[in-house]
Amino acid sequence: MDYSWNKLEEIFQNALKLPAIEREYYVALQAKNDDRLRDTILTMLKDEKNADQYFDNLQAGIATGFEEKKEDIFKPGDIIDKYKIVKSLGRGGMGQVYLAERNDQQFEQKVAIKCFSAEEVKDNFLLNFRNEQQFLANLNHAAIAHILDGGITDSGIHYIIMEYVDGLPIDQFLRTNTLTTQEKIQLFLKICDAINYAHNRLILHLDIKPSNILVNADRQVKLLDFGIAQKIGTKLQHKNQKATPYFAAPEQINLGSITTATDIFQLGILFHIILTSKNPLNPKENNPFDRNLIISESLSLEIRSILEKCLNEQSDNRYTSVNELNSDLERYLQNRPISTLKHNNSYIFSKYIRRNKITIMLVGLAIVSLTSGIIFSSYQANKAQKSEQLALKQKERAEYISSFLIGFFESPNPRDNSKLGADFTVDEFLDLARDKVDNELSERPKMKYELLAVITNMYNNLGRQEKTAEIDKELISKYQKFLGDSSTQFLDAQIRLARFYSERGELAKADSMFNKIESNTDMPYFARGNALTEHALYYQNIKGDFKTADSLVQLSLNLFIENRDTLRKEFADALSIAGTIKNRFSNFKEAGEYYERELTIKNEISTNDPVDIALTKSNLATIYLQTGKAKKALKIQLEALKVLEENLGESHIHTMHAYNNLTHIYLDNYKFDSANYFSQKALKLYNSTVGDKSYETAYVSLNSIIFDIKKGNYEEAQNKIDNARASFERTLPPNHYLNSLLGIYQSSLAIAETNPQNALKAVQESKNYIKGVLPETHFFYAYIIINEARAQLLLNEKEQALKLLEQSFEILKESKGMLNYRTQQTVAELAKIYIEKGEMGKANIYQAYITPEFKSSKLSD
Amino acid sequence: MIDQGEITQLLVQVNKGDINAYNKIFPVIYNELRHIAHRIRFQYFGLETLNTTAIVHEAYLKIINSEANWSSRAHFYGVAGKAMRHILLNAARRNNAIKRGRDAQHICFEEWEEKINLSDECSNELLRLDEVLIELEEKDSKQVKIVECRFFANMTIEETAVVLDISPSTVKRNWQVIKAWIYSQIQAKKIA
Repeated sequence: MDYSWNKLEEIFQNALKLPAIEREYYVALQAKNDDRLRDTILTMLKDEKNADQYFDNLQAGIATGFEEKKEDIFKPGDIIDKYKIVKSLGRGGMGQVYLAERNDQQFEQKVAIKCFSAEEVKDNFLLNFRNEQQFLANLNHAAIAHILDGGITDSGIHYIIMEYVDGLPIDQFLRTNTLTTQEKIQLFLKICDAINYAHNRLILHLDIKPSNILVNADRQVKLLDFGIAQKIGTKLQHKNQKATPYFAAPEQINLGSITTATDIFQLGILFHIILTSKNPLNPKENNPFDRNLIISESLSLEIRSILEKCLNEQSDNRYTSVNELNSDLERYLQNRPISTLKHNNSYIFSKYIRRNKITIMLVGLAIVSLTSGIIFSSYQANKAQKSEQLALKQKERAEYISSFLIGFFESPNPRDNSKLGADFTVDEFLDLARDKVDNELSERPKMKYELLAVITNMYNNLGRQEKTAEIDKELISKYQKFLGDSSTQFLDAQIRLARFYSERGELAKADSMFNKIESNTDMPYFARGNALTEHALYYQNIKGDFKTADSLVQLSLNLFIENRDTLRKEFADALSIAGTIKNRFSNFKEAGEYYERELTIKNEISTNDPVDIALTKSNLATIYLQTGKAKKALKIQLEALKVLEENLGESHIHTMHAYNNLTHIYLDNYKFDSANYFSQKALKLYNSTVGDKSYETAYVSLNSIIFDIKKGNYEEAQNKIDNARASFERTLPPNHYLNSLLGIYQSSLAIAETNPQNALKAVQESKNYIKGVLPETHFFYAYIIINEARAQLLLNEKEQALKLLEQSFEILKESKGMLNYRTQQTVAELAKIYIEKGEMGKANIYQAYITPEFKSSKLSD
Repeated sequence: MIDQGEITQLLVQVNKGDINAYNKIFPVIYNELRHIAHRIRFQYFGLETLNTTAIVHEAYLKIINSEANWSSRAHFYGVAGKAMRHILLNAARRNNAIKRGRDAQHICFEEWEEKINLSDECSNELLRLDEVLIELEEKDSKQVKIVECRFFANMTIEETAVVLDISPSTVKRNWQVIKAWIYSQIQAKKIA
């Protein structure tokens, strides 16, 4: 026990900030000769997650130790009234529940019997017990468990006989059944309907929680336990009546007035749990009395606004009836966005066109298209912009300003815009706000420019670049004068302008702006880091100078690392760019590490942007695919797709891109039909959104040709090649190596049509395009010579074919890995030819490479 | 019985390190915690599981005026964490003594501790945890206080920060290291 705690703490904390692979080296270096210290820290790092689990388990063990051992009130076989107990169904916070059946053999009937021991009834519970019996008898609704009878046994046990519901508590049900958001809302609406029914009969539930709501296999719901229900109007003021703290409305804890709004609050909690499996009151700390409302950021804006209204601390500010809640949900389901949002599709649309993400597609294009289907649109890239401002740890101030601004218009909620008029657009709102701030705050310049900066940022988020730049040019000197050289507002405006100039092609102005920014010595390191990242983007996107871009982004990364401040969005964004650049240099391993670290950080700091995380996952999926991890790629791409579909819709460029990616990912999972499905889907969407003339559509269309050939639609395949050729002629330089794609597909088609001469002609065309451009180890060569080999086979030149196939096998093995479907196809062809030749030794070697999954898939023939 | 104003005052003293104040207040809180647990299930009938949080919270309501400010609440929790550690350790020792066939009657345990039915596994873990905490005490006693607050009283990071008069981010960072260290030491003991 020699090492000091301080030393241990310092090394451990610093090591945590490093990527996993660098930790061991760092720890060994820092621990010098203290082996014990080194080993302890390495174990700690390795087991960090298990430690949390250990403490959680210990807490759970202690909690169990505190539980009183309660005896079962009834045993199987006991007779109550006309019923015989079958088994215990468990116990809630109050009472025990048994399954029982008719004892008189008149007819088969299962019931649930809820009973309370004499001790439980002694002081407080009798009241509830009577309530429950009486209320439930009044309620006759398909989604409320019927009460059949009730009474007291000779030994003083109070019981209620209820309809038996064969279902799972809703939270468990959702764990075992995967429902879409739409289906979850439908399920929730059924619960609302039952509560509404009770409300109309002046009965409140007041204990709405997952364990009181059962769902059966047909997704029918039943509400149980109107245990503490009270007639509307009578106050719940009995000191021992406390609702479950995890689900209670504030007025239930403070013993305030109980109304329908109390049920609305509990419905809000339930709804949040249904959607996210998390309780919004207490997601982190395991202390039911310290409640802290956190509505999941992964939910859509509309749903969050509905939840906020349900979960308002003040009961007067919640929905006044379940009906009102229902109609907002119905509107949501019918895709009629709530209020102002529907007039401003661009608002939602542009929010997610993130500049750095688009970049990745651009870079990907140079290498991929054929293999991983990364597509980009220069149109989108130009239009796109980055919507986050530099987070200079001024979140609170920003919030203050926003709320001040919003207060101007007395409309805190986009839903509730009665004062603004139905057709009020966000643009009009901002114009109005700008005038107002300009006029009313001339006496307070600091406040005025802070607010104008907020408004400018909003224009920027809406994709109004021209307008943003116009305001920035006008205000930039004011920011500097009134808010200072190192103010967020000044730095933001500079970066925005630099970006604006670069996108407009005014490179001299952009360069001088970047120089100005980087010569500012007052700037905090995170702002400098962010500026460097932005500069790297500029070199990457606009100048196409990846080397400089790489060195700039590395400088940015180092700034954050040196300041031991890597748990922040700016650092993660820089990692994203760094990953993109490594990808560009085909350094997939490092690219993957950057993306994984980006993802870890973004999950850790819970950015409020699920789409951002989904795009990172898409990038990572591409890397996994390139490095032979097809199953991992599939899993993560599907996760990303779900978020993209939900947030952006099918026809957004990012979602379409994900569909196209899935084509390749499914192919490498040897799932031909799924690959075909996503290929068709992507093609259809590209055709309808960007049109059949665009080159993005051409790429996607080329990707789909293998399916046409497989199905014998040769004419269709030829049309696609011809269209792509026309599109490439319009968009690519005449000698660009990507033109080789046309020959690759043309030769595949010719082989399918048993025309070896044409195939060889097309092969030659492809080779001409890549000669001297791509190294001979590039997989494009493999694709080309596979077709050459097939053509030679058709000409009965077996030896020549074998030589070519073995050559392409070597290339594919190195570049794509053994599991890639084309590698597998090549191996299968080699094995087949050797079998035909009777060289079983060689045939066996190749056959051993073929995986059973590939063998049994449609891709193997 | 000590009155409320005095208790609040004592708590502040305790958290400044006043051992006399500690000796005065500890039995009050300890006794209250002991008495609460077997009742508490009926009080909060909705609670699905009973845990240290619920017990400490109930004791707080009982001893301290509910209108007391947030910092005196945090100070209370600070002492309660230590008391809870004692109670659980005693319960674990008792469980262990019975298991080894020793007559538990001859070892003096509080009546209430007999009501805690810790599993053998949980008892062993708690005993091991205590050994590690004693080692931690030698290295840096401040860290043990964090464990008492965060684990035994189930306090939030912010509450712990108030009790120990350090920043929440320090609590968060320290707690992360402590957890990992304790776990590594416990694993090492298991292997040994």
